[in-house]
Amino acid sequence: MTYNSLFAAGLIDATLHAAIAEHPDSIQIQALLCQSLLLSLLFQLSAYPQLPARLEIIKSVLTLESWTDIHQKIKKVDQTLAQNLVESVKRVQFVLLNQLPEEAE
Amino acid sequence: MPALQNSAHQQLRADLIENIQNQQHRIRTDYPQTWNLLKQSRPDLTQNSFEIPTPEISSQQNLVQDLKPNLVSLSIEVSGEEHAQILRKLAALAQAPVGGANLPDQLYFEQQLGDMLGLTVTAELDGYRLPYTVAHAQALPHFPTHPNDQLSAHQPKEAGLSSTRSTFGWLSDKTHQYEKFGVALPLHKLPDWPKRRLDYVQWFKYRKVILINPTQQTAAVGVVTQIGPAYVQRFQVGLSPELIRLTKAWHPDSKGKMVIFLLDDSAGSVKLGQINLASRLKKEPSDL
Repeated sequence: MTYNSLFAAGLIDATLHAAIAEHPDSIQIQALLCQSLLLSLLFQLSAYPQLPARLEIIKSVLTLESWTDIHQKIKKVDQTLAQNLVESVKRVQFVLLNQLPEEAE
Repeated sequence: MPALQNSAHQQLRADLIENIQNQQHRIRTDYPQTWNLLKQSRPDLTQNSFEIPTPEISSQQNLVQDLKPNLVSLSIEVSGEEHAQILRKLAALAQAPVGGANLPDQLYFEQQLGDMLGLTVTAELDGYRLPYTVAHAQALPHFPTHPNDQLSAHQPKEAGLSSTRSTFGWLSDKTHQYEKFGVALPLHKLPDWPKRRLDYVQWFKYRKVILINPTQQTAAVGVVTQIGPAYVQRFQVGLSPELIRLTKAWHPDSKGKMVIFLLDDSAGSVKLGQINLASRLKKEPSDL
C-alpha cells in the first residue's frame, strides 16, 4: 500500500500531508505512515474471523500497492468492513494530528 | 530551520514509530498467525528498529553521528534521563509481588527495554506467557551435558554437579553453551499443563529469556533448559551458577528477586550472557 495511492483516494488528511511534505525526511515519514496504517488494517482484518478467505485477503493486502485495489477487494467480500477500514485509516491520522505540537498544524 | 519545526518533525516521527510499535505488539500478542505470516512475507513490517537517515540536532545524536555516519539507530533516542527513569521504575519492580500476572507498566517496560537494548523484549510471544514474570531465583547446580561429564569440567565448582541431565536431553556441540546460561522454569504451572504438556515443552525448549535483577540493575540473557522448581512456594525460577553470578541474584539486597521477559530471537542473533543495564544505553549482550 503506497502513500500516493492513499493520497490519490483522498484519504490523507490535508494538515498531515502538509506536515509530512515539510519534513526533511518526507519519504521516510510517508513510509512510516503507510506501515502504521497497514498494520492497523491487518489487525482489524485479523480480528474478523467470519470473513471468508481471511488469510488470502490478508496476503493480498500485503502485496497490493494501490489502496483502491485493496479497498475494492475487501468491499466485494464485506462492504461494512471496507468502510470500517476507511474509518480506521482516518482515525490513525486523527490521533497523530492530535499528538502533534500546534506549530506543525 | 526553526527549533519549533525541528521539534514538530521529531515528534511526528516519534509518534509514528510509537504507533507502529503498538500495532506490532497488538498483532504479535493477539494474532500470532498473522504475525508469523508477516514475518514470512513482509519482514520489513515486523522490524522494531528504525533507521534515521539524516543528521539530527541533538548533541547526543551528533555524537553518535560522528561514530557512525548515515546510520543512527532509533534506540539512541533513549536519552540519559529516560534511561535513568527506566532504571528507577525497574528498581520499583523489586517490590512487586511474585507472580505471572501483568506487571504494572508492562507495555512501557517492553518498549523501553526493547529500545534500550535493541532487542524484542515481551511478556507474551506467539500466545505463550511465562509462568512467572516476577520470581525468586534458586541457585541450581551445574547439570551434566554428556554421559561422562564431570564437575572438573565446570566453573564455579562449588555449585556442584546435578545427578540428572537437562529436561531436554544431552547437549550437542551446538547447544553445549546452554549449560552455562540455563534457566529452569516451572512450566507445569502453566494453564492446561496436563493437556498441553507437549506443546509447552516444544515451544519453551531452549527459548531465550531476559532476566533482570531490578535492585542491582543487572540483566542477562539465558535459555530455558529445565522444567522446575517442582515446588514454587519459595523459588519460582532456577538459574545456572553462571547466571546467578552474572545477574547478582546472590546479592543480599536483591533477595533473588528477578523480572523475566521472553526474547523474540527468531533470527538467532541475540548472544547469551550479561547485559549491564546501568552502564550503557545500548550495547549487545556479551559472552561470558
